[in-house]
Amino acid sequence: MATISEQEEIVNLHDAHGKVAPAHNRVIAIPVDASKFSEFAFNWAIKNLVRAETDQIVLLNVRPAATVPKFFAATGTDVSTELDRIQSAYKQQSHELLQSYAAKLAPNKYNIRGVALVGDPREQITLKVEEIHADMLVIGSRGLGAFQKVVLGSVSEYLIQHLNIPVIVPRSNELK
Amino acid sequence: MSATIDQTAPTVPTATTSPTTTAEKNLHEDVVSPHETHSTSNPTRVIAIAVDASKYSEYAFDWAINNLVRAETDQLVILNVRPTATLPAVYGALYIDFSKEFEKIEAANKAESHDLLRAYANKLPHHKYNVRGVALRGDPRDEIAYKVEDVHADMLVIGSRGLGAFKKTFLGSVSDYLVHHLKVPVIVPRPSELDKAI
Repeated sequence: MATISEQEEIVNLHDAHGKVAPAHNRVIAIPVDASKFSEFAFNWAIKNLVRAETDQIVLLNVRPAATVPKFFAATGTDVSTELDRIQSAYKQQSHELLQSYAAKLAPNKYNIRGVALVGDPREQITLKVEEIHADMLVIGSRGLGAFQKVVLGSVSEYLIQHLNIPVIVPRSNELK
Repeated sequence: MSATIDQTAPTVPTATTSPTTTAEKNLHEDVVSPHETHSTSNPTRVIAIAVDASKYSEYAFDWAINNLVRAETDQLVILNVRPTATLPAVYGALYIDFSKEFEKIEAANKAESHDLLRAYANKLPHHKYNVRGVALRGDPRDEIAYKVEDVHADMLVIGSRGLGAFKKTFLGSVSDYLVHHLKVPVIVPRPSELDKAI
């Protein structure tokens, strides 16, 4: 069974907010990546959905897990240093992304958490959403690997079909 | 013999149908109009909510009111699409006149649709909420897609499934179509207890 193998809490909470949202508040999960679709979705959520006083926003970013290139594995070349370096870079990128999203909002006003995850985005987001008991999820229509012909990227599509909470996918005609 | 559908909305042309012709495209009736207190208000957002008689619609509607709608500044446009009455094909060949039955079924469907819209609108205090209700007829996918654009809705809320709830999928065919084809966000609230409560 899949579990969350690795995660880091990135965004520091304002002193007034605890990690666990009080029972009557809503937890809104917002997975983000470096695409403009994420930015659009995030802004839409703040403008149309989030209630600053009572919601807790949980930002999520899933970075890829390290994969050893088949070629190197076969010859037994030690690529561990390279892999480590790549992984550190991904990790740093992920953390910076979460921090930059959190920085868009006044910390005194918004209750916001950010969690960095590793692995398959579909799987990790699904697991995390269940763990934090999110009431709803907002996600961009496409991600970085934006194959332009489709309206919905594979991750958003997966989450719409599999999560049993509302999955809100903001989209705009102007965003290409 | 042909049947006439009476119109209440000034912008819709008069339509006539008979058992053999297809439904007029984009036929709609304004069933619920906003209370006069909202006549001067300029809504910042238009939120379309497509409903039918299923419990999924009820859940989606309640979710929207509790989680999304801002009474002071939104306009809600409640939509219901009723099916076009159809006749068994075999009788068509024998040329039996079913127009009276057809009219009766059409009238019943229309009354049901209007009652449903009014029932939904009545859940909300009219002074507080700016609500419109529009009855549509035909294929729900096309009609809803058309109307959402026609009213310049900023987003659509719709139940995860409808009356023909085939339980193996999370999303019914209409919601699924709209999620993939509309240019505005489509919000599909679904009960988290899966289908136990419904």
